[in-house]
Amino acid sequence: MTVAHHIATHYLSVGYGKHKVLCNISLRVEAPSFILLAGRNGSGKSTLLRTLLGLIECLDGDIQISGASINAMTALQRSKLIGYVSSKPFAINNFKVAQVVATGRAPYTNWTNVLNNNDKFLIEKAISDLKIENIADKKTDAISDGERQKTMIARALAQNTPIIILDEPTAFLDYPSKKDLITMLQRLVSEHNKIVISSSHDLDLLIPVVNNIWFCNKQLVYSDTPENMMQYDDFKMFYNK
Amino acid sequence: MNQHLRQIVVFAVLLAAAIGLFLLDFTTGATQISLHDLFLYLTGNENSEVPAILIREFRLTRVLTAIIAGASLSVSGLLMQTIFRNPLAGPYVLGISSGAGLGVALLVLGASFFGMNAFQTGGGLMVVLAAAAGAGLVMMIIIAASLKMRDNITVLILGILLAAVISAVVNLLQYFADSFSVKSFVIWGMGSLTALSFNNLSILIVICIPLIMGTIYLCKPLNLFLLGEDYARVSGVKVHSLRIAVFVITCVLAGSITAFCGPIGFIGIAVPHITRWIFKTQNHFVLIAGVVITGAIFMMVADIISHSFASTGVLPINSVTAITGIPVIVYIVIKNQKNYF
Repeated sequence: MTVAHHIATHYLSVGYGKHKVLCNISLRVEAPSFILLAGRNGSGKSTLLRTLLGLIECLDGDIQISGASINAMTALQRSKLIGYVSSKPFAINNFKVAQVVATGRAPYTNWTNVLNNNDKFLIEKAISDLKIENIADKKTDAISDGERQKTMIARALAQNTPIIILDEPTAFLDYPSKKDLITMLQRLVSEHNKIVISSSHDLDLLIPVVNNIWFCNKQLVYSDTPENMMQYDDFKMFYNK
Repeated sequence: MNQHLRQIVVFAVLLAAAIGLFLLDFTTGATQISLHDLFLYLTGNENSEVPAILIREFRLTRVLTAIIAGASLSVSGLLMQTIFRNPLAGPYVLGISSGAGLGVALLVLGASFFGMNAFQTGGGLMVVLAAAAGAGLVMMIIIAASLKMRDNITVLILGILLAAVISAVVNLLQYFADSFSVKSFVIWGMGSLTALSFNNLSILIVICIPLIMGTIYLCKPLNLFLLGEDYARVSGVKVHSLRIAVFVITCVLAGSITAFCGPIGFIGIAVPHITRWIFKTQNHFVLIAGVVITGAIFMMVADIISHSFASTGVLPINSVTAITGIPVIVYIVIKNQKNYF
């Protein structure tokens, strides 16, 4: 783990089928780094994140993760590098919260899915990091949307990947939970040398803490530090709105 | 841990019930055959009253067929419900059984144009292949549709429409076929656990048991699939391979059972729900074993019912499974506000 993990895109275009949402994206980020992905609704934030995850194919260009092209990786190899929290609430019942968090360890277990002590330790740690011990034994249909969101974040933490991608993780959370989550993401970056990429509309909370902002605007992605980004007219208009 | 203990107890109770039903089913039928006769047969002793061929070809074959048909249809129902994320998916509802029926109809009624009877001349394996091919055709259409249309209801409606088209085609085939072939096809369509010879049964066993055992390897990815396709993929599941594996397994299981026993409805939908309800879990490692034993029990009960009116002959098994299975499905639909998926 001496080499810092990094993500680099080369003239990447993302979108669905013939419809390009974002073009010519050339970004580079090295661990540790906390990145805010900003932009209006429909500007292509989720599409970019899903492409970085390998969930949809690149329309053009390439994504390199720690030196390897994402297309050359198997799903299993990717799952050990990148964790994910989706913006869509999942709808699954008859599962306990702790069991959902435990699925984060799936890339490391064999086909019988038996957890070893390290797995159990990471699951418990993720649960306590998200402060959801009180609901760990509850079924997922008996908890709120915010608690579901925290469950899926804990699941991504248990996966223990050097990169974590979160799609609007603060959306369903109350204000104290938002602040807690952001503090925790900051700690993941500073203490555990991770790359955290998070899309969000909670700019006020995130801009003071992130290292970089990726701003999706008019089919392009601009990357800069928060200080420099504030000089940019389009971003100022977007932010003041 | 508590939950595990409970599941083990439930499983033990079900196993005991299955053994009891096996013995009860064995003694049910037109001819009086007692457990003592079974004991004599199994220990290889001479039995002057009941010939061994009667025990083997008629009774033992029928009961074992019930077990394997119940287990296979339930496993394919469970796999389909997970992969389609649809609580109402099952080989019968999505038209897979109809597709298998079309394959058989083409073979049986088609053969009649050449003056042959496929059930007799073609042999069991031909019928299995035809049924699996027909099932595969429908399944391919359904999968293609479910990838395009994420809406569960649309896929269900498509399955129903496909079944309607297929039954129209089958009707046309019957119209042109000779009466003997039509009769054997219609009887096949009512479903029967008694039409198999011991050799047919061994074909079923060789096909179905390895496939059911093989599904254990799919339990981990199936569990992850319950979180949704995206989460399954970021957890390292090769979703495409999983779909293909489920596709092949369900088509061959449902297809081969349908080939020999006719299109048996509602077991495939009802049993996975009953199993989730009794084991209170979504974990496929538990569910696979659970649906195998619950499906076998369900089918043996249906078989006992269908043979309990021996004075009037054997009731079509399809009617019995519909009458016992549909109430469960109605219950699911009504209670589905607290949905499983």
